[in-house]
Amino acid sequence: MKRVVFGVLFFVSFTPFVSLVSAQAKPPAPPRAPSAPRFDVSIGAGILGGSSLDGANADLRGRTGGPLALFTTSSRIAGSVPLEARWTFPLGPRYALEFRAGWARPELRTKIDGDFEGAPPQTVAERFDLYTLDVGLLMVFRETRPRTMVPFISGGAGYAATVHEGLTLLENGVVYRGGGGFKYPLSVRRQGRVKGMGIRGDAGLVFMTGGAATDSGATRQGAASGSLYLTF
Amino acid sequence: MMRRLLLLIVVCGVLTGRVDAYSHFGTGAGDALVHWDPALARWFATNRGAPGVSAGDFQAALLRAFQTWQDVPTATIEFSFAGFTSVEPFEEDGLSVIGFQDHPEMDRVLGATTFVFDDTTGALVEADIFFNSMFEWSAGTGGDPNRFDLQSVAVHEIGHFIGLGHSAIGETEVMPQGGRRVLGSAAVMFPISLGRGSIADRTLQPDDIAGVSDLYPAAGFDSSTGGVRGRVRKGGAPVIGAHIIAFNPRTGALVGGFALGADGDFQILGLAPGPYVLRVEPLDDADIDSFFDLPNVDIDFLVTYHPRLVAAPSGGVGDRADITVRSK
Repeated sequence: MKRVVFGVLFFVSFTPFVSLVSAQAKPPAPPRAPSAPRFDVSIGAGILGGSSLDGANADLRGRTGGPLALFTTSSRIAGSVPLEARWTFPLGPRYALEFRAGWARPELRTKIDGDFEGAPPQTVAERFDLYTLDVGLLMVFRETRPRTMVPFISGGAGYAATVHEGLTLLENGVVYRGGGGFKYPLSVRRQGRVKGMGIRGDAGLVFMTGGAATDSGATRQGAASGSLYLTF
Repeated sequence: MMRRLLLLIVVCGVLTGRVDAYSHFGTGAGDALVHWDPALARWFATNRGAPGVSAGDFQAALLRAFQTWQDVPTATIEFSFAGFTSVEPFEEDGLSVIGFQDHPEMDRVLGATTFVFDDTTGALVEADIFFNSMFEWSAGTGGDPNRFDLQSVAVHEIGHFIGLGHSAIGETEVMPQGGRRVLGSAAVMFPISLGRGSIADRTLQPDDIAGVSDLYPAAGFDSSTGGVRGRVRKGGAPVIGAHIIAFNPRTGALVGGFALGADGDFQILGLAPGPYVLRVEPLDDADIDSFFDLPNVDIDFLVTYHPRLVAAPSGGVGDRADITVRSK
């Protein structure tokens, strides 16, 4: 019982003392620690290297049991220049969650040959819009410092849609990407809404099923891109 | 008004085509298609077989052939075996009867199908099939190299039984003794049999599946598939009766249609969404009247591809593809 009373008294007597000291000394305020970056936004462009597709022949069922080719084909997705945007949210000093949206306009080319009735060989083609939306994980290998290249690896998976003119959905599928790259901060600010700016390079592989891909598996395309990012 | 329509497998047929793909029988009055409504057809088998085929073998082969069409997941047509009968096919009695008959005068006809239908709505009242017993038949599960496979020909005739016309996806050659021999086909509904010993026509092809699914679509079929459309012209004039094949370079599927519109228009529906190669050819691999009875069918042009891939969008029909052909 006595101890409780003492404690209460001590608290009451101490508080006015602290207030008094503070009012008398008024030392200069310490510099505020820079707030942690909340997210990065990057916008860039790159190259998708294209991919050969499994060739399917226009086969008839021959009277002898084997196939009779009405004509043969081989198809390829030509290289394209994708535009992409990323939103990167730090999960800690080394990891980040990354959302990526991309758009490309690849051309699908099909070479026709060996027509049974003698039509000359030719290549037919068409451009399609390819939209991708994916989420992934990014891991950096060292802390971000100004003018220091920061290597990273990243990977993710998401949705791909192949759209033709007039925004008519042709097909949708799944996109997987993996690779690595670097971030190079050009400036880092301790205050303000924009806390930094830099450039980023990515390289890797993009796998896609559905979309303009083949039935028998995924297409595989090499990809490289460069982006400008802002840290908020 | 009821109307009777006869179709023969090998030599000739009579149908009024619609602009749509593969081919469906039309009523000739408006755009009504010949079909079962509801999509459930009851059929009888005659109670006799043919040399080498017992009545039981006959019924079993027919059951397997009907099941082939009923098993198409994107279509809803169903069949019910009503029993054996002594009634002959081709009698207008309201019963759909399938049986062997001797027709030595039809020396190139393996089988034939007739219909009775309402020519306003296209609703089928009766459909009969006969198999010509002057040929040697096999009903064995593995076929017989020296006989025609009953199940294969039955799958073809049942295609007519449900309202499908002939497909033109095939190549033939003229025989010295007359008639044509098929070199290859990609549709059970091609009008000429692959020949003795072949059991390939027991299995439906993409063209057949698109045709039955377009006529009896299962839920979601229309929204999950697409179509292509276009126009075939030569020297600025429409080409009537051109055969168009839509080829999916991803899957290898071939689905055909005909330019039967007044402007040489065509439309092919029931395609898996994606890009297609369009190939136009003259209808010169079988008698024209086995496909339709139009008077002005043009077969004087070279095989031509559309210069671009054509998109079949999911749940819709792509932009019009104009294809210009040249005379031979």
